[in-house]
Amino acid sequence: MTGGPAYLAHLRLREGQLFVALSIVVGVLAGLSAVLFTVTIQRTGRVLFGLDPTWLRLFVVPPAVSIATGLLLVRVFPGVRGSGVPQSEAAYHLQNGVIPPRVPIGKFITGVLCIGSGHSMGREGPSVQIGAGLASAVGQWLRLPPERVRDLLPVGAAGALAAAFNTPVSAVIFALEEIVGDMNAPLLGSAVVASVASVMVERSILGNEPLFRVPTYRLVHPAELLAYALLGIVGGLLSLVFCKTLLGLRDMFRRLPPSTLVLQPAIGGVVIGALLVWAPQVKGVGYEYVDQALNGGLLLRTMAALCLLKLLATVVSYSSGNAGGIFGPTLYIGAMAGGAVGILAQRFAPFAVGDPGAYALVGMGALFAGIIRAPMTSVFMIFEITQDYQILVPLMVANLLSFVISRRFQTLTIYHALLEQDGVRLPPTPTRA
Amino acid sequence: MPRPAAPSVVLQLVHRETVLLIALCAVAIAAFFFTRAVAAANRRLDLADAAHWYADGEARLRSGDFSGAAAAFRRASALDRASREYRLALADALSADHHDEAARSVLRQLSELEPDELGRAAAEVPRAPADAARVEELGRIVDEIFKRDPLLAHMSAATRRERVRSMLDDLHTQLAACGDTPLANEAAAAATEARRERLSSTDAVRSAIATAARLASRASPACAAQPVPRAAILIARRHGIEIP
Repeated sequence: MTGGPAYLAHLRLREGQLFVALSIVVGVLAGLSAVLFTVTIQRTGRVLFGLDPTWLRLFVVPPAVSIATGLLLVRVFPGVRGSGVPQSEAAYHLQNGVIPPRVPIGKFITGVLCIGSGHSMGREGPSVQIGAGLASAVGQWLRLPPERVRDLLPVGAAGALAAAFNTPVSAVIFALEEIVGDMNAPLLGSAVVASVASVMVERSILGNEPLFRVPTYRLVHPAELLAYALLGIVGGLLSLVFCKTLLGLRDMFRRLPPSTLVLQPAIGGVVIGALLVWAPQVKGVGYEYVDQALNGGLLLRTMAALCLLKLLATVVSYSSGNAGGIFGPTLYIGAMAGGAVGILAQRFAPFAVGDPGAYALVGMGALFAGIIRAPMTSVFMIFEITQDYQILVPLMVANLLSFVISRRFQTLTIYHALLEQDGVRLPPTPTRA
Repeated sequence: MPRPAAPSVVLQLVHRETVLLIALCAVAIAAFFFTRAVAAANRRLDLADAAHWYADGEARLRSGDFSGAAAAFRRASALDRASREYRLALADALSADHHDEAARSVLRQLSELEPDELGRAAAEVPRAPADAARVEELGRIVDEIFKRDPLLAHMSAATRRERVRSMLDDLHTQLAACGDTPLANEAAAAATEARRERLSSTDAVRSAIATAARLASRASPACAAQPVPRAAILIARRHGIEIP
């Protein structure tokens, strides 16, 4: 028996080395998939809408494309509707990390069609599922032990999110906080390796351009924290409205006869088409408008209107069964709400107030904390975008209030509530306790 | 005895995994070049679209449609974020359309993009052709007067007070640095008075701006050309405040 333990230790070492190497490769593949997904969405949107779309084109494209995606989602790729984050969580916790290889392929195709055709959805959630699916496929192809296949899933998710959002640190935190459900998970090292590899690949292709150009902000007056607290309360209430309406409308769609399943995305498409004619700013991901809000380029009434319209558009797009996420729209709604609160504070606060762009930035974090309910990710993500310590205190105040209000009136997080609607219940984890 | 065979099984496994890992790396390299080619094609399309929107914006600017021009330049800047030409044009159109805060923000982005950008933009302004009013407006923005102007729209009384006080304080510092001691002392007295007063009415704020502009206009030419005195005079002119 003397050779036994040494032999096993040798084997373990090999396995550990293999896993690190795999983490790098998975990170690269996940990053490439996220970049390709982003670029293909842009290209598809350009082809479908042209440079300067007429109102007729804006109205017709979403429902027309949704008929095709409805067929794909029902007949060819069942199980790729919606965001992809809850499905990845379910795969990690309930299916030993096994995701069928056709899932990432289906998610890529349907996600490109849905978001490219103007549905108000985000690309980060699908990127997470594509990255997780690729990681799982690699693990299965290499015939790794089941627990290793499972471990690869959040590694792929972190890699994909890092490239999709250009935020490597918060991508790792999101994978641990949301998908694994344990911030102390031993996967931290592998997720970091994958995230770094992914971001290196992404930056070598798209350049070292930040997702948003954010000016430097500072707290102008200590009492300004009160205005940020108000923003946190507004963020919490908006998060509740978003979650409740999305879950309620999705439930209504689910009650429709199964024969309508193919047409449901197109029903959402008709509503989106009508909205786009009126407000084309809610089309697709819409980060260019977030950038404007962050840089003081939008008026109060524009931001207030876009906040509500984006909320409505996202709820309709998602609940009608299209493929796309809520991560991006959450940031959009938060930026508009924050910017609007910032302008109101500038007008009415009895103390000196900073730029509305700072409020837009904090609003993004507040809505993320309220809707996605990943508080650590929300703080790190905004910090990573700004790389500015000054914003941290107001950000934490607003995020905490938004998170507490959301949790008080909505027991389950949005992702878990969506899974419960589908009859899937996840086991409790440290971050979900 | 199965044990002697075990290392070779392990070796086989390791070899198999190594071969598969190499195959995966080959797939990743191929995927990298494919993705890079697709992204480059997309980038070329974006740049062409940006040039189209820039031309459209220029045409609208010439026809006096400032709002349409700003929208077109904004699209161009979004598609080609590295172009300072598009951003300067956007700032120009925004200021012509009376969106001063937004114009200032665009210029601030430029200055953060390249630290010396603001100075270079300022240097370019006098050489800019055509519409003198717009050029003058851009020059004012570049001189950062919007950072100091207490009479911008939608500003709370507290923010106005803060701006007046900081302008007078900075003016005092600037005048003292220039050696204009009597004027510096007057600025210090005005700043102290501004700190005591509530400055709740617009008239009180205008009066404080007039004081600042008066002190700045009396400074030596070299000192008056410094950012703070220059901003005080421009802010007064901008709001039609008579300089005593």
